[in-house]
Amino acid sequence: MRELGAYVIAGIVYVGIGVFVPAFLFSWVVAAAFLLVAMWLVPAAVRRLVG
Amino acid sequence: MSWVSHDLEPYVIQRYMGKKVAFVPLLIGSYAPDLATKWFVYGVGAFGLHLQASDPARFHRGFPGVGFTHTPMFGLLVAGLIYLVWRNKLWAVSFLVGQWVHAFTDICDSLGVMLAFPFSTHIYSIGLWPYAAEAGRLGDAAAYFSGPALVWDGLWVVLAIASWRVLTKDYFREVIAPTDSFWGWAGRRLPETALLALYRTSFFYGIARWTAWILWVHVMNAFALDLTWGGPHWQPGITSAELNRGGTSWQLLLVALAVTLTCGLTYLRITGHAPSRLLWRRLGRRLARAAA
Repeated sequence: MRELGAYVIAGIVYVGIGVFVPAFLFSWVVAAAFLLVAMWLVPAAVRRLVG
Repeated sequence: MSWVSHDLEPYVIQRYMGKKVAFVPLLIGSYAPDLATKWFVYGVGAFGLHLQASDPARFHRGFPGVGFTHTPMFGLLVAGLIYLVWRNKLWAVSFLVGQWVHAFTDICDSLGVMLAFPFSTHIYSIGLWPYAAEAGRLGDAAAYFSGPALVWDGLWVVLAIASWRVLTKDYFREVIAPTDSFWGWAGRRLPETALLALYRTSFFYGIARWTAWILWVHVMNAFALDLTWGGPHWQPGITSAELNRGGTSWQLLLVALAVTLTCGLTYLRITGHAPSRLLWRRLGRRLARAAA
């Protein structure tokens, strides 16, 4: 459930950016990079800072 | 053209085909027809230069042009090449399924695809929504998400959400990763969290984009909604009739589809993915029952 919640938040942020900057929605590569940052790099960085 | 369904179709197919497909080539097949062509359809600008096809519709779906990438025969040809080069039946079949689903989905817009290629360059379409690439990316998005295409993609959103089990970690570990060597190769470089994010990207992209475009078209802007067949009618789309020189030739289409299907079944037989005799017998029994 925690993982699903993280994806939903990432989705809301992605949609929010896309609505104001539609060019953000054009590329699959941008979406993949966004998801990798949101679901892997940011949590890993937070874990490293906290731990 | 379709904005979201090509992202989500592979997950729905994955749900029904399980280990009979490999996800990566299935996804590549689903994107293949537009992969190297769409940027030239909309045009791209850099350093004062603007590159765009002089006739985007013909370039994208017609011939001469790269319209052959949207034909069942192209899927068959590339799948055959994949099999010849890598000797990987699963990759070849998965690519074929993905590409065919893309080709048949694109019949829905007003431009359609050359289903009978290379036997004919006639373009077949059902004209459910307008092909509006000429309006540019934003104009195309506005038209697409204001007509029946919005509902069509919504249907794929529902089907994809109903296939949610294929997105779970367990399914990825038990079905996706073991059936495709790509994930083993990627797993030596990236942690599982990153692999899962990559595997789920098209699902995320499809659903988030569908939501974002609806908000942009109908909340940020106020484009009129027109869900009638061929709508929205405020956006004139390019039609297959404009590109076709002669009248329709349904007999030719049937012959071409029969040839393509025969080639496909022969190919599946060679690669060991042919429907089993049991399946044929069941089908025969059903048809006999229906006839009786």
